[in-house]
Amino acid sequence: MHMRTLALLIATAGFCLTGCRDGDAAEMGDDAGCEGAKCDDPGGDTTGGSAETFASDTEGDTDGDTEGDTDSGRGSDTDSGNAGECVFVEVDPDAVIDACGDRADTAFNPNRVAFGEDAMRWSCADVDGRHPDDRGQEYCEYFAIVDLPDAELPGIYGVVDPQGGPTQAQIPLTEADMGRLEADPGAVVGSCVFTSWNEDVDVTTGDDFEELHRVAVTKHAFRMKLPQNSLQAAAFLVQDCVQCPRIGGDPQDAADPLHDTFTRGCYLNAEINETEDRKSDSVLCAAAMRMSECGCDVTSEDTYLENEIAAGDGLGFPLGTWDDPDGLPPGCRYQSVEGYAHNVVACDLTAGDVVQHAQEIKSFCADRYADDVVVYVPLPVEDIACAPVGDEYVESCGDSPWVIQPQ
Amino acid sequence: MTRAAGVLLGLLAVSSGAVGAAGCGDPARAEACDADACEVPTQRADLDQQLTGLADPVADWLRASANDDAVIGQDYEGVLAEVGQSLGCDPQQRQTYVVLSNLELAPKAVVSHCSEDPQAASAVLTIFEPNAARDDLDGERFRMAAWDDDAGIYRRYQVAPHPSGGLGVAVEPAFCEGCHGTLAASRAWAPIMNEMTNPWAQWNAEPGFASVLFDETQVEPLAGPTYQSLTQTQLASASKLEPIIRGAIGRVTASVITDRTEEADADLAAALLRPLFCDAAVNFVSESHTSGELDASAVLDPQIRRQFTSVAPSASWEWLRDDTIKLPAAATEADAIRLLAVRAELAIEAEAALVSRGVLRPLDVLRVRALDWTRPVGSKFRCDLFVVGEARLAAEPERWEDAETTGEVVAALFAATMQVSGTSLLQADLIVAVADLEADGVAELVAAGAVDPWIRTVEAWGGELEEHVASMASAEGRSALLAEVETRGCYARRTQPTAPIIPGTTCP
Repeated sequence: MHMRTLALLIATAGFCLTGCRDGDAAEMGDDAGCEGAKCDDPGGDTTGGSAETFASDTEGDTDGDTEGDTDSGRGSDTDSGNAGECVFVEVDPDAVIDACGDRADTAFNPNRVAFGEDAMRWSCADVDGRHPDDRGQEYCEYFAIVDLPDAELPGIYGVVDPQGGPTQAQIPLTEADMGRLEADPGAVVGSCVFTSWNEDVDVTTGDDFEELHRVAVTKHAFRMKLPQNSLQAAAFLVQDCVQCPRIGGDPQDAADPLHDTFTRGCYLNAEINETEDRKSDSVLCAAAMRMSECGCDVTSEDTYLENEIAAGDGLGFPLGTWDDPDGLPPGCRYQSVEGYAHNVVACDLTAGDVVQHAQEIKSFCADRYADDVVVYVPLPVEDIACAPVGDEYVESCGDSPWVIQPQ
Repeated sequence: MTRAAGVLLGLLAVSSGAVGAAGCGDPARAEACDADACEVPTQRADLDQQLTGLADPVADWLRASANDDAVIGQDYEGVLAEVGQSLGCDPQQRQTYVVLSNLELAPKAVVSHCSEDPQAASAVLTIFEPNAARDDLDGERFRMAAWDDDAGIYRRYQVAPHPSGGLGVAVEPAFCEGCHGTLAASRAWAPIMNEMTNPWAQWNAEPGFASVLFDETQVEPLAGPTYQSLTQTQLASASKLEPIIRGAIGRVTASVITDRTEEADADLAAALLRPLFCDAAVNFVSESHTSGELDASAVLDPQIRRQFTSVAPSASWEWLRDDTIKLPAAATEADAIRLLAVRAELAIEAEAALVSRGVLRPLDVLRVRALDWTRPVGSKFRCDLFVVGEARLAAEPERWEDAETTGEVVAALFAATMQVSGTSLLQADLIVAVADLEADGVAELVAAGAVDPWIRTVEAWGGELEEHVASMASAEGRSALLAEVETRGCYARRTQPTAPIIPGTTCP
């Protein structure tokens, strides 16, 4: 996969590093008359108002999965509530069990348990073995903004681009740049940015937008780019795993790998989505499947379980850290987006960090911060009621069946 | 004046966390430490004279607060509060981190200010050692390390009882030199956290994480008033100290690497290059509880992975993208990998700095790492190679007679080092990759220059690394690593006075 410089990306997408407002180096807001290719945003919606969802108008298979397409037949909006036809993919059982074992190790890491009473969670870090070009698979994408001393414009590095591979993660430094950076190595000259702003969620930023290192905090730079990192994808995933249950394994045989709840859910996800290599999908599907097995649903008739789970805080799944859903690792801070406080996180890049890791700054962001920036999926526990039916795997449902325990 | 000129004393470790393993008044260390360890100035003029030229925050505070008798405060709480205030830090952001020390596993504490900002917090660190009775922290004899931005070094202060009452301070005492590292090992003192990866086994990891050995080993929290006072409301997880120490390491690394631009100096060059070959310090990694998840540095030096991606960007081996390895889960706690010595973060960053500034190439680093590559730490061959190379450069000054900068001398020293019996280990774009230089007869052959059997392409070596890492993710791999815990741990105990006590190990 070829790498494209950010400059090229800007040229083709038509937006500047710092914006493209007429006669100004600030970026247009979404409702500021941004017209034509210059500020084109695939699938974008520039209507005003608060955060809203809309059906992506991309068609076809966006990530190679045959399930989870926006036109899968279950409806292209998140309110359908219709099951549609469940299509299962033939998988290699041994490979899936192996992968699910890795996912289970992560999900039940004693210091980082994924399943909680009122939320599920996982880190922004991609799983081991993820190709560098494919980073950002866990409803969290990340990149670096570096504003070099005396630079005319800041640089954005390692942004995911579903159409051509990520922008370059190497920062070209001149001798002069090096000298200026080394003159004050402790100075903060940029940020590793982590975003959970769903690819298909729009907000109106208007003219009074904030800036981070002179980069306008709007969807152009800060919204996730991969279609699988979307409200719609999350809703479909949960919907599928709720409504397409397969009673896997032998309920009477504890030695059967699929007797284990998490493995069973991870396997289901593999059969539906072939994304057993993602922490997020495995956790979400396992919890959703378990809720289905235990007869859980939201008590309100105005919504569906998948919508409630997938909605996050409206912009996306909120970000926190392991010991505090409203806290962050040291050196990081929230960057608000039109009142949404927990979806964009900026973590310090010092001059010394930039000089040391200019060759691959995105990897530095991943190594330094990604493990401790945590995606939370809040659960509407007050509005969930469970009434197990049937007799498969229901004996162990308990009061909160989504709090999956390792077998 | 270069920073090497009479400033630095070798490596002092934030041992099992803290700055130095010994303190004043510790009879266990008295014979190893200088008799002047606890002498503090009793005249303001003497203190001022010792502070001349020091530009760190503690020096600034001392100048502002010491009285005519050089008393700096009445108690540790007052000192901490005043230092924090002078830093402009919110008292609520003062945090304490606790670790089991190698003084009979008694807890010791590290205190930071402005703790939410790792860069700011790395400016001043305070360390409290266990008292002689091991029932509390010593609130009268504690140390501070403070970053002097002008000089680009950490300054160290030993607080001790003042003869007139209250507390005094010894400025940059020499007593730590023999206790805490090898003088020649490094030219830059830096705080080091023995364990810089989850689960920080001998540290308190709560809140947020479950402690491992810290909870298992410690019978009960210290009841002493100093320990209680420092931990009651401000106890924090080791996970919060880690970025602060990384910030401190970053400060030191950024400062030391600028020596490359100094005029040609062989000693400076040696100090820059030595970390690639010799272990001035080590770090330790542990399995995440009994899950089998272990930091990959246990098996492969992290710089191999980092530099390989520069040399072979299209390579797709798994080990290139995995920063952990996955062993089969430990059957019992006794089978878990605890405190396996790995290369120190400080050395890794120093090495990376040489590459990022263009002093060495990624391939150069790989060539060093390829020698004895199954031994990420404790390679006698690699260190001996450097010692011989340094001597060779000293005996053949013509090798660097045209060098204008220290960076150029580094290149000359590197070339002088990477040869054995007249055979260069720099073979075009090839690598001399020797897995185990302590295997029978291998060292003798290599030392004699008979390296042909080990010359290979980078790609071929990458394949070997893939096989090796894959082989370690097994029951046999666990057994091998358990043996390494003792081998490397005993090496650390022999060479690093601040190395931790590793449960289950018996060192000669």
